[in-house]
Amino acid sequence: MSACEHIEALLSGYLDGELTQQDRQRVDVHLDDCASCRQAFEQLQRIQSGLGSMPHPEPTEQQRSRMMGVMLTKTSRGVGWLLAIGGAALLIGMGVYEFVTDESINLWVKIGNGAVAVAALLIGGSVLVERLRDRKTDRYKDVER
Amino acid sequence: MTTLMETFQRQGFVFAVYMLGNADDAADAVQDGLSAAWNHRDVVRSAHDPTAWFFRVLRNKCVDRLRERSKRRTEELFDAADQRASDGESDAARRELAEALRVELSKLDPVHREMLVLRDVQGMSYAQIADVLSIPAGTVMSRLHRARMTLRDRLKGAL
Repeated sequence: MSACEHIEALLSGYLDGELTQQDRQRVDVHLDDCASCRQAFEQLQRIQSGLGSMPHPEPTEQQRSRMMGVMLTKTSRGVGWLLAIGGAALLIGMGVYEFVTDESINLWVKIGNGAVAVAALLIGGSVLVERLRDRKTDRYKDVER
Repeated sequence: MTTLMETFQRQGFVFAVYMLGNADDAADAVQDGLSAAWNHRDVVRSAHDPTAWFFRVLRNKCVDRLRERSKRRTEELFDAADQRASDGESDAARRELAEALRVELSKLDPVHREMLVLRDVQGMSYAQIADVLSIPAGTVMSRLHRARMTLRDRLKGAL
């Protein structure tokens, strides 16, 4: 490899200020003496400044709102879920309270309903825990089916 | 996070237009990238370099799209930019070089094009580019140099 070939391979790193001090000095010295490498370097400089000063393509308003719409959609979906779950929890809570404090309902009816509700929670909870455990340990969960 | 997403959108769109040559496809790719960033916002916030994280994802989205339509060319590239260039540039020689650069950049191999866009258009450091492309920093220098030399050879008359 000739001196010029060796230096030429370093010209981009030199242009970008990404060379070690030692390599930078070698290129400096060579460029002082070699018109052909100096010309190559100047051409690379023109390419870099030309690319850097090209006007950036800009999205239309429609494209911009489509791209940023991702955030809005996902946020509103999250808020929607939160409101739905919160609202449902509030309604259920109020219903339970009304049911428990309603003196016109027989105590045994209340106990029976309570037992069914607790049983449903226990069964549902155990299934949920099992599913979550399976999901954590499933080695194929990321495989598309 | 909103500010970060806006920055990703602005910078990502420029990169994607240069890579895909079409503003609509670019907007789709950026939309996918932003969606991934929002879904993994905790990871993005705690990332050493969130911009590199986003560009890595976006670059993969662009590569997927390029593979899907590997035969289509990028003629539409810079349509919108052309107009702005001719409005803003007063010097005829510079305008001519900018035009030649745009045309030749769109014809480059995507592997070389992404190097030039990340470095000379986006202004990323070699370390950031290495992070985005998951390649060693030494490879960044050699690949970028090959890209510039290819462009130089094709632009000889205009330089």
